[in-house]
Amino acid sequence: MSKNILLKGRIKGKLVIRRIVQATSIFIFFFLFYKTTVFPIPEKLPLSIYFKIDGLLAISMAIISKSFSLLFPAIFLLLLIMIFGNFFCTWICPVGGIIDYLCTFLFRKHWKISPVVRGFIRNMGIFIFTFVIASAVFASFFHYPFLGFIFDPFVIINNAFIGLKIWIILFACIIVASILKPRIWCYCICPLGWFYTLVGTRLRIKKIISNIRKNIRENL
Amino acid sequence: MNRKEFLFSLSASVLAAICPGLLLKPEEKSLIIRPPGAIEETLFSQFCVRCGQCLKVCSANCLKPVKIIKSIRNWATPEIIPRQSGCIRCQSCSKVCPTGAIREVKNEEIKIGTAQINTQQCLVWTHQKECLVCLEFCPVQAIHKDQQDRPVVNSGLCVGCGLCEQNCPVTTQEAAIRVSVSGEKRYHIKENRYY
Repeated sequence: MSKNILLKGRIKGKLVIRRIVQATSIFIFFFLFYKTTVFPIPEKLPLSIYFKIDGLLAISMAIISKSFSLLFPAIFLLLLIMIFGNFFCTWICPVGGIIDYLCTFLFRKHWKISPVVRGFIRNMGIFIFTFVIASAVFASFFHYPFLGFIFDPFVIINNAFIGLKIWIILFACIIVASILKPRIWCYCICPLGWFYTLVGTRLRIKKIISNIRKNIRENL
Repeated sequence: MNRKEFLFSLSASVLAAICPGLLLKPEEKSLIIRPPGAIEETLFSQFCVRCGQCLKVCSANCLKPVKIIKSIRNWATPEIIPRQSGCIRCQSCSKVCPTGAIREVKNEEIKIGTAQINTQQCLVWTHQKECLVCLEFCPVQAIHKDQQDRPVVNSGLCVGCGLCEQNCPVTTQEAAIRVSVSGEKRYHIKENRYY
């Protein structure tokens, strides 16, 4: 009984910390957004940091430019995701943060989606993720246009808040879909989420280290 | 997801990535006026991720996203529409570009395009009226008067900022002085040079 209460308390505490971190990330995003609209721009502030740490854009750009120079800011985050798993979507991503806050404070009713529809949406997610990578590869080797940016969450949110119509519609679709089913965009469609989940689970260093430890213990 | 579904998604996405490339061939030269420090046209649509940072940061508000009707390949990439607003060459766009599609260059090396006077529309050339607005607004003194007090553009000095076109008092849709991409400089990644 006391163990359950302790566990519930820990979960609640973790959720509160998560909400604070998310709020901070949203604040930083909009603070940088505001700062880019003021002239002269502050040169010391990393105004495009969210785009630079975007792992999928960084990988795509590395493929297109055939150089790793654009990959560096994102590598740090990728390494952290390899160690701790995909914490980015649930803790840092401002789109995810906005969705979470909207779902927590404004919309509490969640629709149930049949497994068939959910499976279809997940397939669409894989389709979008591989499309981004394929688009980068074809852009690099055959000078095809790179269209992978269309589904990037930072591109969508930034352009939506600039006031460009298509992106506003896309962002509204994400929000509406997430109201019907919380985080459906993040867990099923977002290519960046897919990428970080792949990096975080398949290459999870923590898991590998724990396996090595387990083996050592068994051998002792 | 089973293997069959995965392979189907994979092949469909590869096809979806190939199709636009077959339809939209790269343009070596386009009519789109790019911001100063933009990389060569064939690579621009690949490097530009349409993040919108340059559109947002532009203090002169001269950068606009290319409309899909104008060019599908270059859709949502930044372009300068001088009639709406000219470039003040602050290079803020190059400072915020996350992918290096727009790079910082020396201010004196900037050349976005070249202005040309449409002598059939110009108030001085056709109607012999007193108007030298373009000359007044030119930040590099590339426009001077000829012997008959008519404005003439020195294409060697002109940077193509478009302030002349923006302020041209001719009330028709097209200004009497127009900036085109001719003579523009681009940043060439392979040579690491702006020419």
